[in-house]
Amino acid sequence: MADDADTNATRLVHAWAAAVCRGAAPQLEAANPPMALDPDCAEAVAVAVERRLRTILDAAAQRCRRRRGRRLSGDDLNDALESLGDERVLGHPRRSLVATLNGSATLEPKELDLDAVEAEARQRALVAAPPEAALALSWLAVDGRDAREDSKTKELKTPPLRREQELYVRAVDDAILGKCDEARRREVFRSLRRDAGLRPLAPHLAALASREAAEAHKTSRPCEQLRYVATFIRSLSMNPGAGVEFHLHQLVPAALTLVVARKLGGGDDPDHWLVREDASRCVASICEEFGDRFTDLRPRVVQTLCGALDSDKPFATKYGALQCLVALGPAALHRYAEPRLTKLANAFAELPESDDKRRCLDAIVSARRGLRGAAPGSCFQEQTAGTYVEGEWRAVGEVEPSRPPKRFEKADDVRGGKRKRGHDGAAKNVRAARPDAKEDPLLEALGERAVALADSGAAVFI
Amino acid sequence: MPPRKKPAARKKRKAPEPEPEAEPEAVEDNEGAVLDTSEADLKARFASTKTATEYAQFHGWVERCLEAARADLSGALFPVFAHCYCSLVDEGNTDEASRFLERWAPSHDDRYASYVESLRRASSKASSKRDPFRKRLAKSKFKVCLGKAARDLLGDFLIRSELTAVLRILNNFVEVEEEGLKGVARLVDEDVVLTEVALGVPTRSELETPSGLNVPDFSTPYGASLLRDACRRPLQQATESGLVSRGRGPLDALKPTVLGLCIVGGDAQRVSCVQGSDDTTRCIAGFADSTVRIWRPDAVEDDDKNRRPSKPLAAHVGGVSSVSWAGGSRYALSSGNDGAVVLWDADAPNDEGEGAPLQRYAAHADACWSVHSPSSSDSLGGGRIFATGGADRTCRLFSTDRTRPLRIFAGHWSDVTSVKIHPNAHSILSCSRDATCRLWDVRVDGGGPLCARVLDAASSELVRCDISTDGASACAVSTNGMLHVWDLASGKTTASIEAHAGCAYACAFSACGAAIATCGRDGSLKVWDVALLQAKGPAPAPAFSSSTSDRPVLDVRWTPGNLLLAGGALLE
Repeated sequence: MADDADTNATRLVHAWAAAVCRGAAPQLEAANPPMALDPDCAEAVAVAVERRLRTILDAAAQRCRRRRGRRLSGDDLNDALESLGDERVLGHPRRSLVATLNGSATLEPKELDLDAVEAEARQRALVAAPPEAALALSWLAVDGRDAREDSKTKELKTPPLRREQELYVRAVDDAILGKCDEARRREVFRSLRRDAGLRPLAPHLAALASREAAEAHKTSRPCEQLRYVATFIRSLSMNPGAGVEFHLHQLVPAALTLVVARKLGGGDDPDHWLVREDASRCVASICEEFGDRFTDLRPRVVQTLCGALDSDKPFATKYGALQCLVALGPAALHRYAEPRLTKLANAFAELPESDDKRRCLDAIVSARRGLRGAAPGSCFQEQTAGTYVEGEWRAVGEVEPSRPPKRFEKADDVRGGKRKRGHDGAAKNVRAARPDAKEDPLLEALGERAVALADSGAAVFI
Repeated sequence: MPPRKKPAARKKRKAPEPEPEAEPEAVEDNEGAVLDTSEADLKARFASTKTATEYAQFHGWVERCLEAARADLSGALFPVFAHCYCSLVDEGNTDEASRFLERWAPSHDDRYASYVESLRRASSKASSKRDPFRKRLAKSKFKVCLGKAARDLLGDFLIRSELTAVLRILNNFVEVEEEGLKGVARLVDEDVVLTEVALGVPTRSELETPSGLNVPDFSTPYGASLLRDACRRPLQQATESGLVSRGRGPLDALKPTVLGLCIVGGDAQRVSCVQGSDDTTRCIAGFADSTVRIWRPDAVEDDDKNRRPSKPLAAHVGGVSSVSWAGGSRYALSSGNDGAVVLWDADAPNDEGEGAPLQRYAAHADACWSVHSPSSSDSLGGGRIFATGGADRTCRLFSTDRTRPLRIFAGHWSDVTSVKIHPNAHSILSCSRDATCRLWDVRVDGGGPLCARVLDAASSELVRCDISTDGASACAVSTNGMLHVWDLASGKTTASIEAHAGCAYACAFSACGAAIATCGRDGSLKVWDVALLQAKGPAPAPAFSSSTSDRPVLDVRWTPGNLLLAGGALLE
């Protein structure tokens, strides 16, 4: 059809392509009279769609390059769309788009209740405003010699604490050591989670966390306290204004220690199971929050966990590692826990009959249950559910460190296999997203192209 | 001839799990297979399929060649690949074409990534008709450098193996030259006649009466009085007041003294361009959030942390793509993704400090990627004229007192990424994503040949260009980190080296002309000795190299006293 298409047909095809690109296919299918596509036409549409997508990607990549960015952001794509004569529709869920007859898509006008918006805004904690951009001069070299050695050491020194900051750190310390009552402790953790001015304190708090974790094996630290440590790390990592990303190298090892330590609290405290579970959730929430921004974070965590599973460490360590993989979500479970699960179950089965054994076997069962949710496709559906949370869209590849991290209240919705890329990922995603893909020649043709496109897309998303 | 297994391929398309690896083997290993009648029939129907198999044979032969010849011959692969793909597409054989592309594109990706991407975009007959790169392929020739031995080998092989299609492509679209960059095919556009261009520094008489350009008097109302004293200012030697002691003469460019202009704070990651003024009394930076900030480095510091705050200035609608000082350190220009160029007065008081927009020029229809105005040391036209380049593939010349362009130069095949006005203001250098630099003559008014030189050597998109202060040579850096140097009089490449890993961001000739500074995404800043670059032999090491942790250095610029200013963002 594309060979001898007259101008009219070509225009129609491109209108289709534009509409499909904007995610308006369902509306077209529901059009009256319904416009069914025969395979030839679908092929032509798919080619046009591909070309259109490549043009948009190219324009967006050029914008990204000009602003000297490392990754394509949603703004780049929206700017590109705008310069190509479209609306800035990226980031809006498909159901809020309306296809118009000339092949463009617009946003559905929506009425908002001002009171509800205001109430919601009041509920959220204020995030500290980022500091204004300033100019700092430094001599990089004088007469060809590097002039930065002495200035470097000066920068690394952390400023001493002021009086009120000292009090705050002491209050946190008390809360962890169990020196205060329950209400006070809850207040401390709440403040760690939400207070905006924690940035200057973050180095000290991170050091505190890593000190506490280093002492986790001592008899003097009851497991109750260690659970507070896990809660403390988790609360701190959830604070959007604390600049936690600069202290992950202290926080993550500390949390992992609590997950896979040989002994916790002297070793004979039965509560150590709970410590490991709490710490697992903490690691998972950190990975969820920062895993996209620091691409080596997840691999490093998983490496530690797999090392613990493969070694001949005590069963408590393995239990912790398995629980952590469960918390990391179905994708991690599928990839790293499944191959080891049988061996692990056998090892656990050899333990003498006790509560411990029952607990370990329960963990295996829960891992199996988690695996069932990790079948191809279901992963992706979780992802689609999770992409639109709290009115904020996370575009694929958008990793802008300047923005305050977005909070995901319902961590369960977005957990697991979120940034699945590459060949089978793309193909599966397309199929999983549209269960009727097989019947629809257009989508089938598109699906094949999606694989090629994911490849070239990956090149752009470097 | 090895048959292309068409029916098998058709079947695979329907199969649930295709095996992409199986195919190329089928192409290469079936050399002696007997032709099935149906296959022969298919082959006759798709004559272009023959081209694909011929290419596979050709590629295999080049891979198997001796090391010495392979270095030369690999340059001839890409032209054949590109035209084979085009012929597949033109015959409506889309499946075959996409398979061909997926099979062979990886081997070309490192050198010709942007070309391959352009080929991908034109994946059907209908879309290829309108594709600018396809038009360019049909019109232009590839230049490939082949030694005598390599040429003999190639001719012998082509005749012996009867690869007629490959031979046809090489005859029609490839021009062989004796000397040049080996192993890379360059797309050379229409032959540009080497017209007489005025190169070199401006003469005394030119300085007194700026001829050539018909720049009108500053009688127009807006900002004229403000501009007059800036534009009519006589040539002055800028001094690095406040930062470099006055007692010293010019610094040694090869042992550079580097001043880092670091943007710190919350918005630092969004900074897209930084430029210090010639006398280092001011610094301007453009941000992706559409604001511009101006600092006075010699002003009183805010606190003990060596920081100077400033207020954001807004006049753009999209992100700011480049900034340039215009004639000294009072006026500056910025270009934005909204296609506009804004003239700023750094001294004008505003509510919260200093700096205000004076004028806004609607420069381009699409995004404007680059703006340049001669600084005062660049003599002619400082602060009075400026050049812009944009996504609409044109490069334009403006006078600050008019909102319409004086000249529009069209000819690039893709976005113009950087422009630079020649020190004598008689021509403009522009570089583009089409991997060429062009020198435009601004003196010719209508009708005449405007494009005086096409400088090519690059196989990747160019990012930034510069002209030496003596006006004799030009340099440019590309997205794959190459640095190219040209002699403007002859239009020949004098050096071509890999300067950075990954994309390079800026390059600049030192005031003395002896050094070129480059910087890039890999966070390094390098200074190259021009004399060593142009000498024959292996690629030289940089005369100076410094690297930040991993934050890219965004911009480099030399002051007239050879102080190197490097701008970038600093993460805290």
